[in-house]
Amino acid sequence: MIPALFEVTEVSRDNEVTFSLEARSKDGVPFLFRPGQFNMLYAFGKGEIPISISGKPYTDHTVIHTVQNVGAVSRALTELRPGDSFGLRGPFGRGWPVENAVGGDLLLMAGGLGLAPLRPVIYEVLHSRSSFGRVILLYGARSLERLVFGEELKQWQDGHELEVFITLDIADPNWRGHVGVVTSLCRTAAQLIDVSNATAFICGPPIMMRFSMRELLGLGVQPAQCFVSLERNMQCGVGHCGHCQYGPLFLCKDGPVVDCEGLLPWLKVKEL
Amino acid sequence: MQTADLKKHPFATLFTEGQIEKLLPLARWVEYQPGEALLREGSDCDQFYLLVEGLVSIDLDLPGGGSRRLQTEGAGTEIGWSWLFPPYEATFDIRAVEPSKLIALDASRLRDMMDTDQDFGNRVLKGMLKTFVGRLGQTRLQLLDIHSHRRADK
Repeated sequence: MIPALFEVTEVSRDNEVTFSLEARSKDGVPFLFRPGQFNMLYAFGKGEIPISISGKPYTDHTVIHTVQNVGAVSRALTELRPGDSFGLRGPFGRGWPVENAVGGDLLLMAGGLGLAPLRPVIYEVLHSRSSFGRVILLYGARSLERLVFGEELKQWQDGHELEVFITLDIADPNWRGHVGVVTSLCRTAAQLIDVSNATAFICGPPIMMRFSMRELLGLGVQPAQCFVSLERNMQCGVGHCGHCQYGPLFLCKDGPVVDCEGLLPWLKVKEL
Repeated sequence: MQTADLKKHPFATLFTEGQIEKLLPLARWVEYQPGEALLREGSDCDQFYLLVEGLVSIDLDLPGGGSRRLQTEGAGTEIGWSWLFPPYEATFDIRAVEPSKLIALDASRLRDMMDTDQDFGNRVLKGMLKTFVGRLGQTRLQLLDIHSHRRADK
């Protein structure tokens, strides 16, 4: 429960309000995690917030977090520069069950910054590519300026190991790709894979996840094979404080990744 | 055009084998290159398109020049619905964004078929309604600007 001290080693700007911080433990302890897990990051004098881990899961020396500037703590984190320090507790929670997709097709669906918690899954898939069938990434962003990991998206597209479809809500006339919300890509993806046997991971704004889940289940994805990463008010990280309770789940330890089968009854409860 | 070609598109799943056979004489392959217009706002909507490969956009001309890309549609979708209702005129521009291969169905003969075979007509309308509902839902989400609904931290 006591934060470990981490030092920023590199900062990269993903878009006008989003930055990726690479850091390493000041005491040299290796940092290992599962894709989809999160850490509690502490900006000194500001506070602590949950941030998903967005880097490679099989390097034990550095850890990457992608942070969007949406408040006092996240602003302080995005203002850190190499050599600066911050506190870190974690990793916490259940990550993406990547093992469920081994031997089959995998459909990844991300909206906006929701690509960050899915990026470690992509790294893991690429690391052992032959273990998976077709892997499709559907990514939706508000505009070209708000895309994250633009260079990597291009590499993944060019590398032909993933099939990447990007759509923008609002597009510049020069944009030659899809325009519309990310759910509009589902039918295209469903033509490429056998959705009834595929595993799907969804991450993005809550409304996007709700509608994406509905769309995928409507196309035949099995609820037990469809997973979402829920965003709640994580505080303690170990299921004691109750701030992140969602129905019977404490999302900091029972989530943030949950399967749709268990989630569906709770989605019908208003104001939960 | 063969029966198997028509069956490549999800729209064909709406129909019986016999109805697909009746649709065949109405269908032909068309291809468009990026930038080419399938339909222009105000033009006669005498074809109903099933997109088999590629990507097309729904565009709106802006006053004073230029246009705004509203949405795109990929393979497996139905393109255009103005052929269903008088005055059978396109309400938006439809352009190919990528090289696109489509099945074009003769809209006038399709409407005649719908009138004479009510089961067929009912299936077409149900399929089109599903498309309308899907597009309406996507448009609502687009208007909602879902990416701006993020929880601020302290």
